[in-house]
Amino acid sequence: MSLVVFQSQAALMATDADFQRSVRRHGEAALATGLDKRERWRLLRLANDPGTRMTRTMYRGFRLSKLHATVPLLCRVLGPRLTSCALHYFAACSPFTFYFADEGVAFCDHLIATPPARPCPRLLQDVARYERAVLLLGMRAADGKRSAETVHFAHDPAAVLAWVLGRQRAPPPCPTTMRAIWSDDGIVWAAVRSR
Amino acid sequence: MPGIITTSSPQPVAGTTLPPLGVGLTWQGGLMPFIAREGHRLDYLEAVPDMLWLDRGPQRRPRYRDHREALAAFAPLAQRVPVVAHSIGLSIGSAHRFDRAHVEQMRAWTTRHACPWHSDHLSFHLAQGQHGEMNAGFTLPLPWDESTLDLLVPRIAMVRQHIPLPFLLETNVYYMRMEQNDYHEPEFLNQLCARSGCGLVLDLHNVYCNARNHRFDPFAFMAALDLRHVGEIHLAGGMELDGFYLDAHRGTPPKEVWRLLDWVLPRATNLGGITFELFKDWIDELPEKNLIGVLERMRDSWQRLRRNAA
Repeated sequence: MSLVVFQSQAALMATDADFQRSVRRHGEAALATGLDKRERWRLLRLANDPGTRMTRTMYRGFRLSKLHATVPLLCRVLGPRLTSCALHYFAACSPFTFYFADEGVAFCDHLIATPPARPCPRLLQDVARYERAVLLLGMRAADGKRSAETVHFAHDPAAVLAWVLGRQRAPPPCPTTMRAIWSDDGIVWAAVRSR
Repeated sequence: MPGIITTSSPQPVAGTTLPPLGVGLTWQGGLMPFIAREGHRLDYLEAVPDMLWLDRGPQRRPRYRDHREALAAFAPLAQRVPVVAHSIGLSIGSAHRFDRAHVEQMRAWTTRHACPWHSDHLSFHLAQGQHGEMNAGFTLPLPWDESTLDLLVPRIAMVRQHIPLPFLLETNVYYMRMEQNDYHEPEFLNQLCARSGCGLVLDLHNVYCNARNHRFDPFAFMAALDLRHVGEIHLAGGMELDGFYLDAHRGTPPKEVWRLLDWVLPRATNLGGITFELFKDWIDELPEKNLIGVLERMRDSWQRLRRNAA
């Protein structure tokens, strides 16, 4: 079954720059066990192949395009920091899906768990919570299910959205719980309670 | 590529008896206005079925659901024009598992849309990761080895057994190179088709990209390939980035790709169609007259082929 290991390592090489660097620096010692001689040789060549970097560029471009399509508010807020933030996410979360919405939800989860230091991590987390809920409701609706999602925001979400759109300065904390419901007219948000 | 060893397969071409459809275009939602106006220029549409369903994952039941919004746009067209299925989800070269459920889904989908043939990619994008399965979202190259043939041949047999249609695999574009192969690529493809009965989607833009990036003669590649196995030809345009030429499906095919088409067509005796691929992100930047020009050029080539065949 060395082909299984070989493909895992080749895919890792194509997607993870750190792994490629490690193989370039440490040679066979950086590779997994269970590979035959020719597979080890191929991986060492791949580590020095400029085509590996280009493959990774394509891979990253595809994942980044999924984020642009699914979490537009986060992309807007992050602005030029999106790329570095996305690379941090790609390193933390292996590619697991072909689908756009799944990638968007995973990115939101990542930002909620480990927000970047700038701009305003707590506000970013709220934007991620908002877009995550919208994506989840949309996914379930595509699945033929109407559903609801309860979201705990650290700020008033209306003020957060105004901040995202540049209409308002960063709002002060104001813990707010909202319930989002999928309806024929789109997603309806209603306050549940203020904490 | 160090050199090409010319081989020809003594085997009959089992899997590539295709109805000659003509000129096709890959279906994208963004092309709907064009197709509505210029549909008379098309003999078939090629659809990526994975974009028209939702794969909710192997653990979910039912695993697949229609993507209702996309299908609502696509279905009326599919009733008027033949549809060829070109899947991206099988990952037939993945060593750690073979996705039989995907094959079953393809069987249902190709039956529903009365596809004359179906295809996927000769590559892998699924691999075992440290924390579960990785989906690279990109067609990674397979070594051209006996061990790869051993992996693929029984899988192709299984696909052909479950889906009673010609099954084609697309020649891959690759930027990273697997070296020390048992075969050169065309020999490998000849062996694969002869042993398994599958045919090929010969992507001429992929061949052009590979030849340009890895510095080999695409005509020598073609000369070494048993072109009787080619059931469909793909054409596309590309772009340059960081020293590579990319199969970006952007713009019109470069003139070298048209030259390859002219060379291949008289030799591809089992051809079902020529398809132009255009990625959704680049639809708006391609003037409609240029797209029409591509389809007219394809039509000329196809008609010349049919006249010669007659």
